[in-house]
Amino acid sequence: MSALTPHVLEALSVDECLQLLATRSVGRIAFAHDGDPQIFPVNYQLHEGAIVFRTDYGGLLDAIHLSIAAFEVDAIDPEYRTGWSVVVHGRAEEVWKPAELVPLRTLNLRPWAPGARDHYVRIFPRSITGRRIK
Amino acid sequence: MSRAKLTAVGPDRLSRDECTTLLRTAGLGRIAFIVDDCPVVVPVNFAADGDAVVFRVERGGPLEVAVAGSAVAFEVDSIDPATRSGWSVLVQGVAEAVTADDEVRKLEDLELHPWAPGPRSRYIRLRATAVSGRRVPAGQSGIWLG
Repeated sequence: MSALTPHVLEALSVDECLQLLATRSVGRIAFAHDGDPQIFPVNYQLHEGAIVFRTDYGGLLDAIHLSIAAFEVDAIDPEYRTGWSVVVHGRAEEVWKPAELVPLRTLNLRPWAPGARDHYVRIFPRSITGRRIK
Repeated sequence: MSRAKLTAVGPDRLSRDECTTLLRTAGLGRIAFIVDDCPVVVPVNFAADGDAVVFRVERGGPLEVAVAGSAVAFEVDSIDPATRSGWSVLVQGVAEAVTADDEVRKLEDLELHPWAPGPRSRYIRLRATAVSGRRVPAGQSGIWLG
């Protein structure tokens, strides 16, 4: 297929979306901050169906904790203009219970410098949508 | 509650010139906007026009309705997942539908062809009120602020 071939968009199933989310490690989190949209890249892991990431910045944590977030991951080939994107919507929440933190600490979310205080944030999907362009 | 500052500080922060240069190297970004208090993210291919971001949508379609006249955040990055190094740039502003014929003709010179299928004859321009960006040093984990 070339860039000049007419492309089609097809919807992905939730299972396909989850499988694709598990293949990547960098996504973008979007949320409203004082009513304005914000979007930042973040590295993440999929853990028991939830998006998990870390942050050490308290101002950011204050902004996203308990907010409704959109989490986007894509893989689109700029040459052939084919690929996919998946968006998860859900409430972002800091994980603070020690028992829940134990498995998260084993995820491949490399730590900051020793001594840095950081926090785990989890998004349980309320909805998952995805599209493939081909 | 006071407004938390959500921009990178320190040596990793990119200058505005660096940000606009990087914008021209990328073809795909993501727009984020708020609908009924809920954030929405859509990947779009785009062209940089100075420090404005231009993309195309279906004329009168849901995306034009959602973003024209609304606050939009636009994000583009290049991050190697293996080393977790690269850069990200964030453009914030209010999106506008470009309808004047002479302005549309100028935007046609950008040679911006939508990657997604379907008629997308409406140009949307996001004039930057804020541009920020940062380098992502290798090995860091977490949210990379713009």
